[in-house]
Amino acid sequence: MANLYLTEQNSILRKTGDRLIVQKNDETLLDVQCHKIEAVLIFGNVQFTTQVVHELFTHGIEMAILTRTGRLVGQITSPFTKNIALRIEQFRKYEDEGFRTRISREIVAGKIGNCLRMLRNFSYNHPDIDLGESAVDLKAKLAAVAGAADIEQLMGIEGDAARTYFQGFGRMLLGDFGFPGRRKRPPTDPVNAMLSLSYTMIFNEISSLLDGLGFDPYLGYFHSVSYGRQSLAADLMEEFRAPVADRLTLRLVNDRIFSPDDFRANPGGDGVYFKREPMKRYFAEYEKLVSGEFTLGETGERTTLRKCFRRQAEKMAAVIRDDAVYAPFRPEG
Amino acid sequence: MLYLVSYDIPDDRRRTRLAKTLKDFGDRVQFSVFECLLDAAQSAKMRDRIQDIISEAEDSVRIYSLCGGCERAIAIIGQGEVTKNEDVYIL
Repeated sequence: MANLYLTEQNSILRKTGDRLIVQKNDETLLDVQCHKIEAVLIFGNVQFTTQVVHELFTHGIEMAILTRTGRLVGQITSPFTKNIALRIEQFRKYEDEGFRTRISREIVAGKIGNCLRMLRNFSYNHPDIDLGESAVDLKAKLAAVAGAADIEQLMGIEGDAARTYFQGFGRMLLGDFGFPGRRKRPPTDPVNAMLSLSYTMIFNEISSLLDGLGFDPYLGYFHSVSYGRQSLAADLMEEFRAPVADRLTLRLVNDRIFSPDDFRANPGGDGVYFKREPMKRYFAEYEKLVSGEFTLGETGERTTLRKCFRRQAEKMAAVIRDDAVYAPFRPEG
Repeated sequence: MLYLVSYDIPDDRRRTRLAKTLKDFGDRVQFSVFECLLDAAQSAKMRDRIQDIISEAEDSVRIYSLCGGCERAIAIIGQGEVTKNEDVYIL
């Protein structure tokens, strides 16, 4: 099953029979059976009919609404699978301070471990670029995680590690782009624009996955509960940032898949974003990465990153139900 | 699995209804031939819906299931290509 990305402005998504139709000015741009589609992502001014939403719900298709530049505005999901038992257990575990600290340690260790792995893999292929200091520093941060007493300390370690890591990340970029360090809301340069869009993409996949499994995505353990924030999705996303979003960005820059011409400053405000045609190429690259097969070090099975999103969400459910230790995603070994 | 569905229906109304229904399951490759990539549940549903439309006394619908090897061995002379699933749709 495939994802449908709709960026054609002023087009309209409707249905006929069990098929989705995309039209613009009386021209049919797409005509596809519902059973071939897994999720629909709508960017900016794309209209859809109520009938199409009914049809999507019937087929269990997720729908995400994003701005033209790729900021997630909201999701539409059917109230189909609300696993209340899991939800009760998820809330009960939130009250358990010890559990929250334990799982937060795993989340932060998973994130830093995967950042370190990024640096090491790069160093292996580029011995001329010295990332030794960043690696040593990240290793120290990783060691500090085990000794952290509470979530506040973990937040501090995670923040420091991210700064160190992005310094190293800047040195790994070989193409025509500069990188002033991580800048978000809004991204101020093409590299940050690619990072931001990639984080949105995985965040969206993970939050709809969590919703589908019956979790409440708004109640997390590491990220504090705050109005309108899907904290659990943010928790689960941490370990995927480096091996999915950062790795993709690095490849897009270093293989010169995009050039500075592919980006523009937002005319209506600040921030730098993809132009529309390049953004479509970006989606193709994103899909290639998350649905490409690789061998998982842990078990030796053939899998894809997208399947790993699900696998980790299922692990999280098992941890909540059985109090097992959470093992974060590790791409290899 | 890939299914090849062809039909011969003299009545215009039933023929149109069947064609419309088959569009929910696959792509039209010739006037009265569809190729449908379906799992077991979908193919059962398709059979049910075909059953509801046709008149057994007058109409004929043939469903051929193609195994992986047979699918690869399809030869097309002239126009068209074999139905396959896209990995992603980007518009």
